[in-house]
Amino acid sequence: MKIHFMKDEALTYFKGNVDANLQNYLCKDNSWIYERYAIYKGEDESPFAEFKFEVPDFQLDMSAEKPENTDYNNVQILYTALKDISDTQASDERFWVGLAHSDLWEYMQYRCKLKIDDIVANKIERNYFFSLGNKRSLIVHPLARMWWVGRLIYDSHKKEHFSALEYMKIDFSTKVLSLFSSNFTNNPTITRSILNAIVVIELNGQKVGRSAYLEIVRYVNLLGGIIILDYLSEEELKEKILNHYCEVHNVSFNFENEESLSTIEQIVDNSQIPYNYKKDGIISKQFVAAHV
Amino acid sequence: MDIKYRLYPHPVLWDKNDDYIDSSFDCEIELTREIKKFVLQANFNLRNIELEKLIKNGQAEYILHIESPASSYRLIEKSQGNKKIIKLADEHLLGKISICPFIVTKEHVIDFTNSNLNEDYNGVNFNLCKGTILAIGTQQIFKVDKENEDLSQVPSIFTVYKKETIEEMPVEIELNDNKIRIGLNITDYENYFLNVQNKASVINAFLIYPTLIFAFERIKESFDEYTDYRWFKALEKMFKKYSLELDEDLVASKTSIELAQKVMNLPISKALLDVGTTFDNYEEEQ
Repeated sequence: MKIHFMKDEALTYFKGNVDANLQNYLCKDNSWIYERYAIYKGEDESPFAEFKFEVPDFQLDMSAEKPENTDYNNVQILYTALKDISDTQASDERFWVGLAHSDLWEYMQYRCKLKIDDIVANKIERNYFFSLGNKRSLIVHPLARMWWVGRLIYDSHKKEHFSALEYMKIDFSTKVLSLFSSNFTNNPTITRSILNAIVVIELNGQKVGRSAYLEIVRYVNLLGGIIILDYLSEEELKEKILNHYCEVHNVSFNFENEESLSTIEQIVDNSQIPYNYKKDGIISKQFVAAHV
Repeated sequence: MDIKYRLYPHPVLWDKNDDYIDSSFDCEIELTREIKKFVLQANFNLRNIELEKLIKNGQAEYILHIESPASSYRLIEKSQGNKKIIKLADEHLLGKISICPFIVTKEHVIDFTNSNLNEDYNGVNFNLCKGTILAIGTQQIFKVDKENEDLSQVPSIFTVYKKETIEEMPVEIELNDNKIRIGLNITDYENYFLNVQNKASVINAFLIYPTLIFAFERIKESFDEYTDYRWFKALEKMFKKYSLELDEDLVASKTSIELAQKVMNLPISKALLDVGTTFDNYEEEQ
């Protein structure tokens, strides 16, 4: 399918006129955008331009009563369809504003829960445009946020490409904000280490609430003060996080590791952590406090 | 990852501390642009025999930490030798690219010490886990401009647009964008549109000039917030013409009025000259 971005001049015009167009954001379709722009720039001028590549057809999930409950599915749908766009294209406001005002108009109304009695300019600016500076807007704009979460979580080497997304299933936007506020999460390996460690903790019956979650992010920040986090493999960093969690919460548990034996053997050599091998090649280990 | 001055719980070879004596570490970095990619050449210079030995033995290695915050791109490149060539796809890089050289441990190192350590460390050995920073070189910043053609003229960094309101309102200025946006109400916009062609210098003086002053005021308050925007890079270019670097020192040392006049090359004089011409014409028509 063809998708559309918003032209520079149109972006300036619509971004600067949110107040005047406020009620238009409740319209069933986006024809008002073309009408407004034609008055401003002339009949033949379209506010949109076609993106240079076609993308696979996709339809975002709008089935849940609470739209935020669809984020988990939609990250996977959106990122899978748009994973070939470049990082710089995905950092471009025109791209996301274009999609929000054209191809994904209906989804945006659903996700932003726009209602006649509580529609305010601030909400439109935050959701339909980049209003908080480029970097922060990437994790606030509903479409850009889903793509960037996908970009940092997607693991092409695993069968379940989005397994690290499990923890984000509930309370998606808050978790995204606190996790992606740290610079180190620009490295997908580090992001996946944190999220996969939390998935393991929860699989072992522990509930990682907000404070435990922030404590983990804080620990990774501290660790980054001594070592280069990017130097560690996903498994190595995950293991450090799990050790730390066990130490802080005074718990110990086993987990089944899906990675290959050779990777694990290397970790054993490096970090001197005791492992118990099972006969079928799947490894379980008893976590103990380790000095990092 | 910006390297800030900080203390480490173990000795680090760095020109910001005195953990080591008679030793040094740095890296010459060159970034060149080719078709759809950048080529980065790095030459590591290490002066410490025992750290060199650690690298040769495979217990440590050189790394380059590369980050392009505007496109959320971050990676490391490793090297056992002191020369490294890296190719970076153009599509990942945008705005500021920071590159920082390090030496890190490749594995768990037990009882680490070094003959050139500061005497404060006498008799103390360290157990270092994998990835521990052993040495830090000078962080270097490169800038990747993707739309050079848009940056060559000052006017292209502004965009004046119509606010769909007839209410009397002050001019609205927005800096958090690649272009500085100036919003005018319907009447003001129409008057602007009628006059922009033949009275450009007057309009520059009363619309663009104060906008620039405002921009410099904001830059003074929060320098890093704006450095990735295209308008900022265009201003940098303008200052380069005067052999000046648009950095925090420059904005601190001059007033915003001085800076704006510098960029616009004395806008008031030009405008006064044009206003004079306009009055002359007016009198003749009477």
